[in-house]
This record gives sequence, C-alpha cells and structure tokens, in this order.
Amino acid sequence: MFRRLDTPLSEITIFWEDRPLTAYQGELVASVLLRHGISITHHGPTTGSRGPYCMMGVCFDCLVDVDNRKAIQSCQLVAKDGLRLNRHLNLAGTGHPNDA
Amino acid sequence: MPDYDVIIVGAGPAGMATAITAQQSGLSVLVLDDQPDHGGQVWRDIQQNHQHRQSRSFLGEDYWKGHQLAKAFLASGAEIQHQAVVWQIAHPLSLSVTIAGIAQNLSARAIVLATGAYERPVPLPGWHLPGVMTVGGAQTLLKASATGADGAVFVGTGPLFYLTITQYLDAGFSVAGVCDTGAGLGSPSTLLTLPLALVQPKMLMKGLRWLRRIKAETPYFAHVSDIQLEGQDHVEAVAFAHGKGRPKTKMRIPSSHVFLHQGVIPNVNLSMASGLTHHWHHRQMCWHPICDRHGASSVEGIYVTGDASGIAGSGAAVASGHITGAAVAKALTGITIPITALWRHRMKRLQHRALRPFLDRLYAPLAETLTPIDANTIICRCEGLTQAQVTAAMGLGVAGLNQLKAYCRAGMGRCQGRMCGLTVQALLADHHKIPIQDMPYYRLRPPVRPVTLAELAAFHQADPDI
Ligand code: FES
Repeated sequence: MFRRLDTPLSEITIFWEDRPLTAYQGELVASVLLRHGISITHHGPTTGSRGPYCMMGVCFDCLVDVDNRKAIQSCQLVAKDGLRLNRHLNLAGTGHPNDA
Repeated sequence: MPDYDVIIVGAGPAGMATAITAQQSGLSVLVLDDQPDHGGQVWRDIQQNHQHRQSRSFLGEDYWKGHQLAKAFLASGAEIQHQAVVWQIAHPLSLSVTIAGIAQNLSARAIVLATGAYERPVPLPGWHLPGVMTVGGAQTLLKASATGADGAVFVGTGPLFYLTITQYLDAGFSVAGVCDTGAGLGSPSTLLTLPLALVQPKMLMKGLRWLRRIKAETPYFAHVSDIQLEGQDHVEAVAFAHGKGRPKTKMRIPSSHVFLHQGVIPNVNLSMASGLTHHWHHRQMCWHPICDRHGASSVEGIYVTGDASGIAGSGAAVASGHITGAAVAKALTGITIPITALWRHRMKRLQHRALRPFLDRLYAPLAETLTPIDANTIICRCEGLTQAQVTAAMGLGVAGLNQLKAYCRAGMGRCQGRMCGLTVQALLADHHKIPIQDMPYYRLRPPVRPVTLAELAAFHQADPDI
C-alpha cells in the first residue's frame, strides 16, 4: 500500500463513497485514494476495473465522479475539504450516450 | 490586436526557459500549463518541495537544480495560468483553452508548444490492471506528496527508471524486484555511439552509480523479457524470464504494485492536430514535429521546443527553450539576444544531445512492448480492446489507422490515441509488411482533450464569431 513519508499539518477530509478519508491540503486526489488502499477508481463493462496509471493526465484511467461532475481525472484534481468522490462507471465502448 | 505576443503551452523546463528569454526581450508572455504547478514533470512541485528540502532530500541533486530556473521564471514577469488545458489551435493564430471549467479563446502573434513528453505505452499482458502504474507516475507521487509504496516491482529500462528506483531507495521504501529490460552494452552499434557520449562523463558516471547501487540493494534481474502481469481485478504478481542463457530462467515475484517504464516520447497530440508536419524518428521510434534549429515548425507562427520536438532530456530542453524564446523575439521585434548567450545555449544543447544516440540504443524499448503478440493484451485502454480484437479488425482489409478506428474504435477514447497509437501503428505496419514509418499516424483533430458540452456552450456564447 502507498504511504506518505511526512505528516503535513493541514489535515482535511474528503469522502470516497461516503467513507471519510484523511487528506492534506494540496494533495492530488489520486494520491489520497492510493494512500487509503483505493486503487480502483473506475470500472466498466468493456474496460473492467481500472486505476491511476500515468499520474500526469494522459491515460484517463484515474477517472472518478466528483460531487455531481462525472469522469474527472483524479490525478489532476487537488483535494479540497469536503470533496465527495465516487467510483466512475465507465461506459466507453458500449456506445452508451450517457458516458459524459 | 492579439491578446499576447507569445503564448507558451507548457511550463516545464523548455516552457519556462522560453518564457524567461521572450519576456526579457520585451514581449508580453502568457504560459498555459495543465498541471497544478509549474516545473513540468521533471521538476514537478519544485517550488513547494524546495521549502522542505531537508525532508525531501531523496529527490536528488538533479531535481533541485530546477529550482533556479523556476525562481527565474517566477521573477520574469511572464503571466502563468495553472490547470489550463489547451485543446485547439486555430488560424489566425489563437488557441482555445479551458481554465477552471471555462473555455476561452486567446490570440497571440506566436505560439510555442513546450508540451514535453510522456511515457511510452507499455502494452504487456496485464498492464491495464489496477496496481500497475508507470515509473513516472510513481515518481510523481513521490514529488507531489512524498508518497510511495513498499514492495513494488520495477519493470523497464531508461534514465528515469534507474533514477526513480534510486529515489525510492533513498526515501526508504523497500523494493521487491527490479526487472531490467535493457539490452546492455552488447551490441556493436551501441558501443559505436559511446565515444560521442563521453562528452558527458558525469552523466555516464551517474548512470553507472545508480545501476551499481540498484544491483547491490535490490533483487535485480537483467535481460528480462516474456513479461506477464498477473491478477484478476488487481495486479498480484509479475512473471518473467531473465538472464543471458538459453532458455532463460523463469521467475515470478508476487506484488500488488508494479511500475513500468520503456522511455518517453514527445507529446505531439496538439502539434499534430494543429497541422504541423511530423516525421518518424527511426531511433527513438516515435513521431517528431519537423522544426528548424530554433523550433520554428512547418506552420507559420507556431514553434515547438524541448522534448516535445524530440527526446533529449531536461538539460537540452532548457537550452532549447532559451533558443526558441530568442528566435520568437527576433521574429516579432527584430531584437536579438547577445550572441554569446545564444552560443552558450547552443553549446549546452549540443553537449546534452551528444549523449542521446548512445542512450537511445542502450535503453531501446523491448520488442514485446512495441509489437505485442499475446492475444489478450489490452491495446486500447480506453475502449478495453485486446490485441486479438484489433488484429481481427485489421483482417477486414483496413488500409490505415483512421479506417481501423472506424472498425474497432481503437483510438476513439478519451486519451485520443496517446496510449494505443504507436502500438496500433506497429501492428498495422506489421500486418501490411511495410516499414513502420510508412504507416501514417491517426489524423488527429481538435479538441485534443475532452471538452464538455457545457464548456462548449459557454464558449460559443462568449464568442459569437466562432
Ligand atoms: S492517471 Fe493517467 S490520467 Fe490520471
């Protein structure tokens, strides 16, 4: 499991599927998730389970749903207190029009 | 009146250097970068980390070198916009960018693409499994938040590969295995390029030191091939063959973290979608935009600089950025920078480039990652397409990549071919038995990043002329 070497002072809380996770100001959401053992950020019928791969915005495998926005790259998203995240259901390749 | 004299896309080594030189020449400069902070991938979060230099010393000397440039960049007066995603370049010269969810159009007299590089896709069996990441991704976690994983297996080759493992060791993470896929010094063509590389003795020595340390402190395997990443919903183990003997020795290392690396390639999606001419670089096995030595591309007013125009590393990228900044200033104002400064940058770039022919050969990507033969290997991550599915579509009489995309959706997903393009190109070239450079890449069109309908609607309202 991923672990952080330091413990910054500015602790915040974000939520993964309603479960509170400790995060630090300025931390990337993908990093917070990995640190809490959450490595599957999205899944779908054609892709199966996926998680962060490139950490630089290229692969789109770290997608999550944030508040009411769908399919956001968690490696490009900076954690803010109270952020509510959910696993993204990826309908890519199924021709589903709702896969925004 | 255009909004700016120059807009630079990317705030890595090349982008920052371009901005400094252009701004010093009196131009108005805007830098757009898609990451949360400037520094690019190589000097990611440099400014912030510099404040914790003691506790983050594991990032190493080369990393801290970036601080000087980042400081100069901030002091230069160039305007910077973080988390700004550029998705289109249009004519007359302007670009479309989304900043904080709002799309807008900005015009400039010159546009410089300093979009850097990203890691070459590594289509091995199981590379799509959660728990498998790129080595660069692992390094990003280290730089961005001092985060790493114990018991990881590193699979690959290249400067970034050895550097990141060294950083991991310095940071105190345990490493379960290092599977080196490099070809080693064996081949005569590699040895022939060695004398030129001796221009950079310090860099060569550094590489040797890294390797010696990794061999001493980790379970290290050389000449690795036949790699499989095993697991159902998450990676559980790496199986591979290693050694020089025939048959090779089989090995399996259980781990829930596997980091892959097969070198980096220029980030050309924006330059391709903007109509710049590209050529296939035989040695680096990727597309490069065709530019003159100042970075001027085939399209009037658009420049490409740093690794986005060909892989040469951060040292060369800084020099290239200054050179391009000077060229833009000269083209727009007629002002030239002191010739001594220009020559200094040119010399520096030459020195850094001298190392490349050697590195390109020494760290050439493994054949099985270039043209995957395993039927179940995922080729297109976005659409979840396997090698068998892509090859089946090829059998339907497909001539090129664009047609293939229509048949099987490879390259249609969000990453817009960044993760499958080179692999599909290699497979299709193989299928038609033609050299890879004769197989044109996807015809890329803007937007080069997914743009939501809401963004577009707001965009059109704001600018009724479009
Ligand atoms: S991990 Fe690749 S885009 Fe986020």
